[in-house]
Amino acid sequence: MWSKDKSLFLSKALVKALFAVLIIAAFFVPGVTQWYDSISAKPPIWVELSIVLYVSLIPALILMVSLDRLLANISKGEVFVGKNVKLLRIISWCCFAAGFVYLVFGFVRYTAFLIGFVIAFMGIILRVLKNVFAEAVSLQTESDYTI
Amino acid sequence: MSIIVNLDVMMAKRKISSNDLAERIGITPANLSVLKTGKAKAIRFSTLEALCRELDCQPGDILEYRS
Repeated sequence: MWSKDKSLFLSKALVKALFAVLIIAAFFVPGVTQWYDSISAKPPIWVELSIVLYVSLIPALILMVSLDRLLANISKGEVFVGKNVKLLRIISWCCFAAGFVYLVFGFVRYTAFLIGFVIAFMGIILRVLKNVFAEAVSLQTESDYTI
Repeated sequence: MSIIVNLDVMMAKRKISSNDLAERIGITPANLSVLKTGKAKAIRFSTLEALCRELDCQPGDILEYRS
């Protein structure tokens, strides 16, 4: 039977797996971007694309670490606490940072505009979620200090 | 905070310890401490009723408003 604990375990496993995939994929970026150039009819951009991928990897890794910490806090029963609001803020800013990188690359390849927009949109959703969490922290504090 | 909780005064008058009072009214000593130190944000009527019953006093003896 599916449960809250199993769901949490799955989330943690997926985050850790994706973190590992990102680290491993970093080593294959030059090869993949050169392969992309070889099959693309457009002018070669493997250097620029590699730079974009490596630069966006930084906020991606910070985001994964923050997600891992968020899930660790949740599994300890600390859900509506200030540190989780801070983690959500960091995650949203990581999305904005990565989205900005792709938006800039959009001037080289137009499809990157769409990728950047989608990532930035996710950042906005997470920012709103952070606001909701901040309100929930206030309600939790009110509840905890009602004797 | 403008509402002052004078629980210490009443507890001293009735010569009752924090642990005893907490046990009698059904809250943890930690929560009673939160109440005594003015960190509480709200108090349930049931808790106030229990305090008044055990300390044989009125709500106004425990709670005071200062502007």
